Amino acid sequence: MDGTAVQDRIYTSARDLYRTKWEWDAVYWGTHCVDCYPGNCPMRVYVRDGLVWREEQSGTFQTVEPGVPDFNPMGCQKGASWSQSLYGPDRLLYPLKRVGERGSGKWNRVNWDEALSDIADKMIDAIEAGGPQSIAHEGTPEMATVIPTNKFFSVLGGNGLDLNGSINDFSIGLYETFGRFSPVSSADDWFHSEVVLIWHMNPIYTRIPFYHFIAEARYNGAEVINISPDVNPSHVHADMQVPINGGSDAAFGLSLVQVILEEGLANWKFIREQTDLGFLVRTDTGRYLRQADVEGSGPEDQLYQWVPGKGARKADRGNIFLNGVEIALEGTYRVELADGSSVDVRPACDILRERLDARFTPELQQAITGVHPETVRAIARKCATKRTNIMLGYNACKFYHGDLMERAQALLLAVTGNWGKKGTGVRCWASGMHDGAFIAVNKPGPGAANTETVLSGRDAAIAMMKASDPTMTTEIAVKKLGQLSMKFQRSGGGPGSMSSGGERGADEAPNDSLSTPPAFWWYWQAGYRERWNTPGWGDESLPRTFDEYFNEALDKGWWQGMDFPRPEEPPRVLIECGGNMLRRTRGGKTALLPTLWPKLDLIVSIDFRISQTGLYSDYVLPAAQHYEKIGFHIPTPHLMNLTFSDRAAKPAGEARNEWQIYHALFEKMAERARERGLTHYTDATGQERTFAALPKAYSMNGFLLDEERLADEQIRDSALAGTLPMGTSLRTLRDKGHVRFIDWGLSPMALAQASPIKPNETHVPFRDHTERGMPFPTYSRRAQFYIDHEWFLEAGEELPTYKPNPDMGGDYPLGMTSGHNRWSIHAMNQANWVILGTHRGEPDVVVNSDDAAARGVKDGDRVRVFNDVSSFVTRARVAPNVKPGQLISYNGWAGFQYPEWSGANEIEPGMVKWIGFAGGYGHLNHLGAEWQPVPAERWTRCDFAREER
Amino acid sequence: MKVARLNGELADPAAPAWGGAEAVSITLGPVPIGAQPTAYIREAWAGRSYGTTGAATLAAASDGERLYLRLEWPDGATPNGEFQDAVAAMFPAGGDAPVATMGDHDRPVELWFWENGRGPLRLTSRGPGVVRKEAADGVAARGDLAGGRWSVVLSGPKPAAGKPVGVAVWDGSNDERAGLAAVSQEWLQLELA
Amino acid sequence: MTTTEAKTRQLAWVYDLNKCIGCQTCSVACKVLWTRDEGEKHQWWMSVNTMPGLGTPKGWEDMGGGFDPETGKPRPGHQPTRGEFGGGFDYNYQEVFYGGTAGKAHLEPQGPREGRWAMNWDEDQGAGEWPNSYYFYLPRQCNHCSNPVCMSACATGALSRTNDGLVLRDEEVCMGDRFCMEACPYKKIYFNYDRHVAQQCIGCFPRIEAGVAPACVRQCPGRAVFIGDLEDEESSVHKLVKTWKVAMPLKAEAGTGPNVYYVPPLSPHRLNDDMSIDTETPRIPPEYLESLFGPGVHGALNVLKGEMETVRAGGASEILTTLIAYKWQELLGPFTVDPATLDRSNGGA
Ligand code: SF4
Ligand code: SF4
Ligand code: SF4
Repeated sequence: MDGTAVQDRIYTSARDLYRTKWEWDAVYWGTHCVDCYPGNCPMRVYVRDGLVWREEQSGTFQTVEPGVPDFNPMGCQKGASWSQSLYGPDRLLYPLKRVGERGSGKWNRVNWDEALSDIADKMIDAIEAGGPQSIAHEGTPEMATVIPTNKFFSVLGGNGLDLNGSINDFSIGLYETFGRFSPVSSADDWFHSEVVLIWHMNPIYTRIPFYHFIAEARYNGAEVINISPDVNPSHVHADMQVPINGGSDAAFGLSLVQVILEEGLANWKFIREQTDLGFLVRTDTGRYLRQADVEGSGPEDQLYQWVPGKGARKADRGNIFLNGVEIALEGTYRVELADGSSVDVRPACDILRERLDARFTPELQQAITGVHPETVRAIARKCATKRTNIMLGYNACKFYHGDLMERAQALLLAVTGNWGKKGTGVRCWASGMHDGAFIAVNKPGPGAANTETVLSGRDAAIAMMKASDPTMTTEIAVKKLGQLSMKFQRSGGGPGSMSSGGERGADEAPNDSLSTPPAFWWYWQAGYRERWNTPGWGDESLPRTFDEYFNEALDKGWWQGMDFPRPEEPPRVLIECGGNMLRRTRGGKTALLPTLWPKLDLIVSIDFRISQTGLYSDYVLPAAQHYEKIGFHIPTPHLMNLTFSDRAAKPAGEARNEWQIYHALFEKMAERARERGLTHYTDATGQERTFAALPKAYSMNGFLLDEERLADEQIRDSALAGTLPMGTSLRTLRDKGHVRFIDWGLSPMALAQASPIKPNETHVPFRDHTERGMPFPTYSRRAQFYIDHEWFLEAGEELPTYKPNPDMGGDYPLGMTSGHNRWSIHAMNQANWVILGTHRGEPDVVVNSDDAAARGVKDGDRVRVFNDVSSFVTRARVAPNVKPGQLISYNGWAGFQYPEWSGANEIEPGMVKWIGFAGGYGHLNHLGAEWQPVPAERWTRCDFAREER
Repeated sequence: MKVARLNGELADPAAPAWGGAEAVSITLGPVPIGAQPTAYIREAWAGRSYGTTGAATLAAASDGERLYLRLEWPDGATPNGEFQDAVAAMFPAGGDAPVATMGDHDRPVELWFWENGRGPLRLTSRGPGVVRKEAADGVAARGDLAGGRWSVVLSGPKPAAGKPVGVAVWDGSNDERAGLAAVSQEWLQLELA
Repeated sequence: MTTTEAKTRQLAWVYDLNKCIGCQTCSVACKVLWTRDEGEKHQWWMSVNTMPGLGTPKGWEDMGGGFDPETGKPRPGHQPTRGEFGGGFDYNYQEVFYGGTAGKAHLEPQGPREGRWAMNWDEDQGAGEWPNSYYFYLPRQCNHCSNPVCMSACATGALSRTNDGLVLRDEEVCMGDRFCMEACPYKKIYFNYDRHVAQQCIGCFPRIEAGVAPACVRQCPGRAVFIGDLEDEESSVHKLVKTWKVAMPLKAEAGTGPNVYYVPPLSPHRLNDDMSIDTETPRIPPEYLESLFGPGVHGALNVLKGEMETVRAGGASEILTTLIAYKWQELLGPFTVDPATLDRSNGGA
């Protein structure tokens, strides 16, 4: 008799146990409106007894393009356990006030009134001492956070640090080439690719909701090639793994180009039209031949091409198509100049080829990259003949010479004609489209009429811009307007951002905030000057020191209005809301605590949890979590949908949403100012601001405090702006959860897509360039590979080239690399108990087995990682797949997960490539979120040793 | 054996009142491997010894309302953390159920079951480990480990008349559970005072 | 074997290991749905491991169980211990955030570090040597076997097969004897030390009953999992497993008749010593794959490669079209109901 024979009952009751586990009484739409990019996964949030119980992907996308897989079900493990951080042990429920030293971890629970009174007083003190610009915040792209925060700083007149300048998700090399860094195909367009080069990306970790399009493209015939020093997780579904020496990618990319040109496989027509490689360069100066050279005067950016048999012709700045004219890509030609002399000129392509042949043949590159010459040839031939897509993440740009890598990648696409058609291009990030989100909070008042005023103001400003130069595209006009308004801000109060609707009436409160590149803040306020000038840590091939370039940039006024806070105007208050400066900043506590922190009289962290920065703050204020407020995910061309997140439950504990917090703070400031007998203050632009007017100006007379109404107007304003279907409202989103955008709107990043949105097709950027001949927003109005800016010439970087990684951090045998981990959105999910169960539950660095053995380190051992900057203690995960000489510290662990709360960023020197300070040259002029100096830390030199506990 | 009529905290195995009860030693032996209910158990335990607790001491008492059975036996090796020491008192639940196999398919026995760290259970057993949980019906238990010996009091409503009792002991440190027990080789008649 | 329900279909899962990215969304989805209560913190009915590796529970491949292929008799197995599963750690949240330690305490699992293990402890370590190291991801759940040794090993008869071919436990009957845990060759049964019952994947049967795909399937962002009735010749699972034979069970030699199948993983080419590419040799040793998926794995990989060549050359492939699953709902078999449309305010009753 076996045990199975005794079954004699129906196990109804036991089954009911599980049936009743799967119960809920309400369902809401939700997503994770944080800097999870691209994210946007629509979820259903299931609520039981007023508390969020769990979430599940909605799976509600329709097929976009027939013959292409749909987007369902999106999502990831973080999203599938987001609910578990709502009521978990890491949830912040009450305002906390620091007692004891900063960072002592000692808090008193206080009530909101007490917290806000003290904060208001300190903010008024700061305004009195240093103006509102001494109150700063660091950006975040989370819409539900950035909009109320930016509004607060606009009404206050405070200073925002440009987010993208801090985190450096800025593909500098793409920007240098295309005049914007943000071409983004929709993820389903990846399915059209025939060659997928995963190159400085690890999509198996970082594109969980979208990775399937790569796997499915492979089943559809694509070859997947993974290029990385380590046999990284994305090798798993690749056909080819290219183990490349760390930071040598530019040489590899240039060698691919060399083969393609050498073997005659290039798309010559594409090169001639789309790029500046057919533009003439003077052999004497290395500068482009300009109209002033030839005619004695004229616009300095009027450049030339050579038509064999006819001579030099002015390159058309308004359209890049050649309409059958053959321009030369080779040869040396003689041109008469206005002064009667003559000069030899060569198409940039000719110079490029000479340099490629001299330095970057497959055989020569092998010494730099370690990649076998035949591998280079094989890949080059594939790229030349197939629709090729470079899966580029935000890794290359974090190398010191990352711009050179990206310029080489862009060049590969250029010579193979791989942009502007399906299945091609290079992947970056872009946002925009939900213009109404910003219009609604910046327009003169609620209602559609006010929206129309803003919209017509925008249109008029653009029309005016374009009138000054008929060759100007809308994108260029919008950028120029943005740059002008930035410059005006500090020097006398021009109109704020375009979306604010231009001029304001005399009785309205000012509504302009400053947004400055953080590089100046670091240089003057946080002690980075010394690091940036450390010999060996920067580019050793330069003739001048870092400071010489820095001072020249300032003297030339390239950063006018941006180059502060100067040493004499220290910041006094830092408000973190969505940011996390101590975790993010390269150098972390090591850099900031001794330099910046003592200057700050007040540090406030507004968050739903205590972050690393929160631990070193004076106040931590509990914010509503993402399922507790209405929000929209950052829209992205990856998905082309506005994704909605509803208020599924009341904020836990005493948490409040950001609008309420900031409004209450302004009310408190008005109250305290009145009690202190203060009426007004003057901002950095010389405008007067009245304390008493702050709360109303902030809330637009209460309008912005009504979550439902605000969300509805934001959606309706996007519909009015033409980016959502007419008639779309909050009700539509509550019903459908997500709506596909129908147009780009007017944000620079969206316009940068330079493609029409087609309702039944995948999105691929740059079709306006390839199909309509629209010029690029660069100096040369082409994809620009020859940059004759004086600094680029001085550095030998006028053309894409390869330069070795500097020894950032000192002379040590290992290079530290990073990349997003699999387990968190930055540090967001690190303390979620479910997520902690999906890995070792503590941070580690991944090291090669032989490197570990050489140091007597076994898997799981405690190690200290060190260099000249600092050190941190963690565990070693020993793996054979790491390249010998490489140490990987995946990004996102919170500092408080490491001993002494010191994470990997402590050993990063936070170097900035000097060339980022260049300006005064077409697209190389400051542009918010784009052109500015950015930190580099990949391949920081380091070593590690066993650490006894 | 006689069920002593006693007053005191009989549910407590250390209660002084137990001094007044007769204690008998009951010889235990392993449930035969061939009687084990599943092929898996028979295969896995064919070469392993189990049911190694050779004897337990039983005392019985009643306060007029409830029947208390106090069992005492030496603790085995250090627990492995997975299985716990346990004990049961067995009563025939219809017919002449075999005690050495903890009943069989047609002749069940009733178990008052206690396991270290786990509340008392009332079970019906139709063979070694072939058990069903029943409503507790007032069955209670309490166990103490002292001086290397377990003493456990199992109790339940006093039966109307005397009845046979058997004992099963499991040594958790030897992975004993279910039918892998040391059991009485014959019923012992309880006589109510 | 007596069951009270006549089996009318056999549910089967097919995991496409060329789409699985090891993201653990399936694991997390399952956990958040089913195992958040008392005694369930360490339980991962669904888990994903990097292979080769020791996985979960640590070293499960060497823990025996199943049936002896020669004699057909059940093979003794090791009962995985709490430590071998690991995980379910407690953390010092309070101390770190509020304890005033000024960095002296950092957020970390409590308890001894030595010998610690967890569900996904050896993530992305793999085997081989750089630059030819290799690994892939293997999601595992209860296989809802047709010849479930867990069920036949159980003394109490707590396990039974449903008319969908799911192996379910009556937790009221389960005595926590854990013979099932010993006997299961896949070691996918967990013990609830608080409630004193064993627990395992329930096949999301309440969802199945409502026409909703299991959480692991429906929530897989990799679109890597199919579910369906293996006996339905029109189903994707039937075609992949039976018709095209591109999916096979894990360790079928254990004789339990598992109903979870895998499309085996392709891998990038190996590199020669001079770093040139060796297009002949796959990176993952075929013998290793055979140890997991049996000898049929070679044929399956050849079929896949052949189909991929066909498609690259411009041809069409029904197999690859199926695996692409142009419409997500194709993965869900008959279970396409959107759960958000259901009224479950009272257990669906
Ligand atoms: S966290 Fe991001 S990727 Fe994950 S489900 Fe949410 S939005 Fe999607
Ligand atoms: S959710 Fe899908 S892709 Fe992710 S680990 Fe599970 S099976 Fe693999
Ligand atoms: S996998 Fe194990 S637990 Fe699941 S049915 Fe098969 S033998 Fe039983």
